[in-house]
Order: sequence, then structure tokens, then C-alpha cells
Amino acid sequence: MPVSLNEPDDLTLINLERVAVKGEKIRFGETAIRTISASNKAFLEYVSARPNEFIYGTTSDYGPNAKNRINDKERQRLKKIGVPFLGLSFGDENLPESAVRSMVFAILGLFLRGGSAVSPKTARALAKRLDGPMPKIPAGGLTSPGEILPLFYLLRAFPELVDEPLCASSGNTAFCSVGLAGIDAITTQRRLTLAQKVFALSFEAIQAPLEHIDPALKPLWNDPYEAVAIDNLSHCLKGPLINRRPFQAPVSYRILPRILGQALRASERLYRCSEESLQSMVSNPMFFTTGIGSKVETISTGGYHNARIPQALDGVSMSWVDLAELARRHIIKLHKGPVSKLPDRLVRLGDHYRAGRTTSYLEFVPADFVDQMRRLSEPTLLLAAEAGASEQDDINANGYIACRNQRQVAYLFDRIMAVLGGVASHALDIQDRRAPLELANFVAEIRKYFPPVTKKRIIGNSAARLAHRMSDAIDNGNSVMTETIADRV
Amino acid sequence: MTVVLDSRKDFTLENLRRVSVTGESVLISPGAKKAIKRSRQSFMAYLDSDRTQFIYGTTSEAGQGASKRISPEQQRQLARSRSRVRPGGGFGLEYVPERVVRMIIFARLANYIEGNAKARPIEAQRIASMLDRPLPKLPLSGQVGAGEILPLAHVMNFLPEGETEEGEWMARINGSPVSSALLCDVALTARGHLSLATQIFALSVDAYAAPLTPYSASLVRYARNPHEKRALRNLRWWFKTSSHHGRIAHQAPVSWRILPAVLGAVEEAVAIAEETASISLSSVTDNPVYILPTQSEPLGRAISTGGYHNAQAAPAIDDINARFADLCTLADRHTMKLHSADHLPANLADPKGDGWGTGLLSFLQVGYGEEARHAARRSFLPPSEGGGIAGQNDVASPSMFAYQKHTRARFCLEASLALLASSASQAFWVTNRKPSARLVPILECVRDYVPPLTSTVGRDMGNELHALQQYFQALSLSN
Repeated sequence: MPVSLNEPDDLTLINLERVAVKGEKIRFGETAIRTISASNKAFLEYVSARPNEFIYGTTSDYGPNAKNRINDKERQRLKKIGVPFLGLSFGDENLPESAVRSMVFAILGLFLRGGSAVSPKTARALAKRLDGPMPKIPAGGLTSPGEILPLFYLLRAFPELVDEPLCASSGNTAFCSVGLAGIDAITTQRRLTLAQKVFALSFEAIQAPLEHIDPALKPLWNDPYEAVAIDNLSHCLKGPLINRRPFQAPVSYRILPRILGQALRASERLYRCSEESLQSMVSNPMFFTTGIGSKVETISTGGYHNARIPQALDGVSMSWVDLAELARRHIIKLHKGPVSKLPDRLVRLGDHYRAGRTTSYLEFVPADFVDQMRRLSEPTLLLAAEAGASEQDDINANGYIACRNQRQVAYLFDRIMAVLGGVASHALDIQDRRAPLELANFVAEIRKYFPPVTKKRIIGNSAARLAHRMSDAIDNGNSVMTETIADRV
Repeated sequence: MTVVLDSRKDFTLENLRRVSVTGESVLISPGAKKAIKRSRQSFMAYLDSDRTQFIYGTTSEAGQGASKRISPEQQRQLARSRSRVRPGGGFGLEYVPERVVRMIIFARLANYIEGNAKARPIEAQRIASMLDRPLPKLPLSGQVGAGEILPLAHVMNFLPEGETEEGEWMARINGSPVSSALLCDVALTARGHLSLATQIFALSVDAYAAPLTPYSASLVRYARNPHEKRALRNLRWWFKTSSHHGRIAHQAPVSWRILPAVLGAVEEAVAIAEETASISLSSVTDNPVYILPTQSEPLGRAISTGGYHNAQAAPAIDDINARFADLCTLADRHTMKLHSADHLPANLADPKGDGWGTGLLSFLQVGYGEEARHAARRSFLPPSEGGGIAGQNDVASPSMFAYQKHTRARFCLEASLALLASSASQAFWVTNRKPSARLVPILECVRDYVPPLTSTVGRDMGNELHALQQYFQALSLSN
């Protein structure tokens, strides 16, 4: 069944995922069509009544030529010439189909509230495009003032956007960063669910005292996100857990609920920011009919620049780095017998590490990934350089950069989770210990891809398979890897 | 006036401001003293019930020696021997502001006030009394280690003399009151910086004669995010009585139009800093922490935790630093455009003057912006394990590092805004215009420090601009 859009509240991330990732179709409902139609009609009347008012792209030329006024005749002439640029970006692979679909969804969000004043015909036509394949958009060189560089590809592929006789905007909005961040918000939740399970497994492997995640800490720490982290870890570890360490675990274990709490805060913030942005897409120019704004007006805005999304994505990236840093400590500590109180180097009883039946030396591997993550997770600041050869377009929109970096960091993080998951599972195996009940299926899934090491093999291949499986589970859901932990989450 | 502390509910940002900025003292209420005493008694009963159980730093050694249990006599001896906190080891060129040291002392008391520090009331009173004595100096550098023992050693070394008993010495230097204080200071002052920035950017809108439509009330109604709404409202306030006439007929450059979006992101960063500061300030973060008695656990219990690591502070401070860098970038772009706009005199040179104009201001922006962007680098968990390779203290807290960068970030923002304000002032001067009525007072203040430039003779722009930056600093901190 297609996703039906009527009200701004229909612009949820759940619907975004249905359309962008799961490939469902989309249709405007009657309420939406009435809104879009009324806005389009009002805009035509507005322009007709105010031919001399500055309306960017309608009574003026674009970009560097914005100060040049044009009349109706000139507008028609320029429209016939069409968009001057068929595609300027290059580098890297093309964006995934789901990413382009998410962008189209975001533009439809703009249309839904009438701010672009497109006709119902155009809105329906663009929605119908989601029934078929999306255009290819290079994943490199997409940053510009506003998000016009990716927009050029959509305008080329969907000429109905350009052919609209008269509208305020056919997509000059932050569609790219909002669409991509929406998907990222969903995958961030899943990635964090998976991470909590892996860390719980590590916590169990080293037999850390449960007092480090005692529910009594929740009112003392006073933070709702840390409380959720405590609940999730406790849920994963519930059961008759015996033989805990008789003294406190290293700091990297004790601070786990606090670091996870901060990651949950960052995840929630990204989710809220993406959904709010989706529900209030602003273009340049933006048309307000009565009932939406305080008065009927068409205004030039900076609506194509979403400044909150980079901030929210950066927060998530930072959490991946901090969690990766903790994971690295865990991996090392698990191999360090005097600290873990487990067999040194996780060697089986009576064995020697040179026999290769251990995960020893795997602890070196994450350093490379963490270093790369740290570099990619520096904040996505406004670019200090002048954007182009135009007095007008002087600041780049940086949302796409934040999206791209967060995704790269997140996939690197999956590799580290694969190493920690594999090592913790191996640590249990060499002691003939079972996983806690709530993690049993999770550990079974880990072992399908990264079995405990019982004979010499290429362990890197196992870690790679598990990392790939984790990333896939996060991107697509429906896996024991990313199943929700407890009701509260 | 004195702030009376009765429970954790009294650890509010407002009370913190009274203690740290206004310099008020703190009094532990009689009710709180009773609660602390009750808690101490039950803790001692809990300890005496089994002196072989693990209570970090009480029945065991501390730090890397955590796995080593000690006898009851050694337990008492350990407590007595730590009655004086050793001086801190960090050193450097700069120090944490005095108001922040007061905040640390205030925040330290959150562990005590309801008895979770398992200490006697006299310990809480000793700490409170520090606010009435000469304050320790806390170096900004050399304070990044596991927990907050490094900076707390500097502060708690100034505790009044007095013996300690079991469980008490660790409560003095464990937990995360330093992160709470640093985050609170950023939260309290960032709001002032944001207000100042909004005002100066409003001045720049008028100076450029930019259209007001990007700040329309329609956008306030349309937006779904409260921070964006608030940023727009705050910006619009300055234009309350402004006219749309006399402004350029087409849209202003992007850097003017995206002001609401960028200020909205700053609003959000400040709101998160305020929220997390409030949470941190009233939280109990001791290790080990004493869980008060309940019906099922009449003696309570002491548990080891990671409370000493505040995970909220560094990310929240980092976000503020990043947004300050963004504001510097916008200020740079505005300054540049004011000096090169077609509709304004080139270089904002006074036609009756010596022809130099104020183009220098645009040159100066580059350096402050670069510094701000450098200060905006992330404060990740440090990769070095420090003293932790032996197993225990293997992750350091980066809060002080984030704060250290913040002191630079806010200076750069003040400097950058001083340059923009001076440029805007010059733009009004050379075109014989006035800003919106509500902006006239700030323009006059700017001109008190940096008068419009007609001739460079006898002018020391560096000194003038520095004075304006310092005025902006005072304005932001008092806001």
C-alpha cells in the first residue's frame, strides 16, 4: 500500500524509510491536494497583483543575477532555455537509490504544505516518479550554497519540475541533507541498539560487577538517557549471572552507561531534528498563504540551509568515536589476563598463542579504524572559504558533508563492533561459558560469521564478514542484531 | 545573602549563579545536616557489618591497587593518613576563572547534601566554608585524567584542616563536580554571547540595508522547532519598529539570509548546554557511592560506579565552540561584504576623509576565525590510557580540555563581533544612516570604543578594538 501524505504530521521518519529504503510508493491524499491547489492558485494571483515585487526566480533572474528583474515575457523565454546545468558534480560512487528517494520525499514534504506553490499536477507527477528508478547522482562535489548541485540532477531527470508554468520554488530547499539525515536517524537508532548488545556481551565476558549498571544509579545520575542505557544493559544481562569480579572493573567498563547515555541523547536529537526539518521544509523563495503565515507573502529566505542537521549528525559521529575508543579498551583488556582475570591473550587452556587458536593480536586492528574515525568526526563547520564567483552565494550549505562523514564513521564503527563482538564471544567460548539468556540469539548470530577460534584461520575474514553483516542489519532492519532491547527504547 | 542547601533540588543554575557570580555563601540547612548524619551512621553500620566486602578506597586500596583488600586497622589508618588532599600536579600559563572554582565547590556539595557521600556533616561544612575563604588557583592545563582527581586535588587541597574517617577522603576527590561546573559556566555565559551576537548581526542587517523578509513572522509560525522559533523571535525583536524602505530591492547574500538558521543551531546548542548543566549539577556522581537505606536494605550499600566521568559536558561544550566558530565565519563574511557591496562606498571610506576606509577590519577577521575553528576541534575521549595500562584508570575525562578551548572560542567570537560591529558602525557613518531604533544604543556604545574612521591619523585601531572586545566580554558575562 502506498504511503499517503495529507498533513505535515504524515512526514515521519517511519514513512520516509518506507518510501526511501523499502521502496514503497507515495500518493497525496485529498487534503494535501486541496492545500497544494489553493497555494498554487493564491500564488498566481499574488504574482499577477504584484508584478513589480521582488520574487526570486519569478520576477528576478537567479543566483549572481538576482538583482536583474525580469517580466513575464522574459520569464517565459528563460524557461524555454531550461536549466543551464545538466550536472556538475563528480567523484566517488553514485549515491544509493535510497538516498535519492529520500531527497524526493523531502521535496514532496515542501510541496505538501504549499510553500513552493507548485500545482497539484507537478506534485503528483513527482510523487509518481517514486514508482520508478531514481536518477544517478554522484556522491562527490555536491556542496554549494543551498543544495543546488544535487538539485540539478533531479531537475534534469524530472522535467516536470522545470516545466511548471509558475511557482515559487521547485525544490530550492535543504532536501538533500534532510532526506539523508532522516535515513541516518533511523540507522543510528539501530546501530546503537546493536552497540549496546555488543558492549553488554563484553561486560559479561570480563564478568564486570553488575553494580556498575545498578538501577539505583538512575535517580542519582538524574539523566534520562543514562537511565535508558542502564536499563538496556541490565536487560541484556539479566539472569543468574555468577562469578563476577570481586572488585571494580576498569574505568572503560564503569563509564559505559554514561557514554552510551550520551550516544542515546545524540541519537534522539538527530531523530527529532530530522523529523522536525522534514515537517517544516523551507525553500527560497517561500510562499505563505493566509493560515500558514501571518499574511500572504512571498519571501526570500535561507531555507535551503539547514544548520541544525550538521550539528546533530556531528554529535552522533562523536559518540561513535567515543564508543569506539571504549571498545578498543575493552578489546585490549579482554586479552590482558592480569586485568581481565581471563586466560591471558584469550588462549585456550593448555594452548599457546602461537598455535593461532586465539583472537590475540586482533586488538591491534581497530587502531587504524579509530584514527580514521577521529579525523572524519571533526565538526562540520561553516566553510570559511567564499563559495563561488558571486557576491550572492557566499556560504556553502554543509549538511551533505556532515551526512557523508557520519556514514563513513558509522561503517568504520561497525568494524570495531565486529571485532569486540567476535572477541567477547571467543572469550566466553574458551571458558565454556554461555551467553546471558537475552543475548543468546545475538551471540549465535555473531558466531555464524565469526565463530570462536578453534583452529588457525584468517581471522580478519571473519571480522570482515561480521562487520558486513552488522552494517547490513543496520541498514535494513529485521534482524536479531538490531532487534529492540527493551520496551522503553 | 546566603544560599541555603537543603536537598539536591537546591542545586539549580540560579543558585549556582548566586554563589559563583554574586559571591554569596552557602549554608547547609539543619534538615540536611540531620540527613547527612543519619546516612553516615548507616554507612558505618554497613561497613562494620562486613569489613571484608569490597568498598573502593575504604576496604581496598585506591586506583591501580583496587584489587587489594586491606584489614580493618589498615582501613582506619588509610582514612587518617588522607586527611589532607595532596596538592595538584597540573600547571600552565592560564587559570580557570575564579567564578568557576566557586562553581566546583558548590557542585561538590551535591554528593553530600542527601548523604550519598557517606561522610559526616562536618565534611560538608568544611567544603561550604571554602566559599568564604581565599580560593585556590586551578591551572587550565594538565587536568585531563581518569575521573577528576587531577583538578580536584588543586581545589580540595584548600579544604580547612580536619581529620577524616573511613569513606570520607575518597568522597572529597571522586565524582565529577568539575565537569558540572565547567558545563554550567559555559551554559550561563553562552546565552549572553548568543544575545550579543544576535544584536550585532541585527546591526549588520541594517548596515547592509538588507531586506527584512528572511526574518518574517510567517517563518516563526511555520517552523516546528522551538530553537529556530526562538532565534527568529530574538532577531526580529531588534527590528520591531524598522521600516522596509531604504533597503536593497533584491535579496541579500546568503550569509544574511541564513542568519535565522545558524542562530537557531546556536540556540539549540545553548539549550542543550543549559539542560545538561542542570542535570549534571544536581547529580550524585561519587565513586563509590552510598545508596541510602531502604526497607529491603536497611543498611544501604556502597557501590562502585563510573559517576566520575561526566559524558555530557565535553560534547555540549564542543557544540558551543563549533557554533561560535560558525558565527565568526558569518561575521567575517558580513564584514567583507560590507566593505565590497555595490551599494556602499568602497572600503567604507568616508568621502570626506583620507580615503583609507576600514578594510583592515576585514583582514583582521581571518585570524580570529581561524583560531575559532581551531578551538572548535572535538574533545574526544583521549586515546592515551594515561595511568590505566595496569588496568583500572584507562579512560580520561576530556571536559577540561573542551573548556580550555571554549575560553579561546569565546574570545574569538567577542573579537569577531567587535570587528563586525565596527564595520557596521562605519557603514552607517559613511552613508549617513541610522539603524533601527532598538539598535541605536549598541551603536553608540560601539562608537564610544571605536569611533567612525575619517582619518587614520592618531588612531590606534588595535587598542580601540581590544577595548570593544573587552566590553563585549563583560556584556556577555553579565547578561
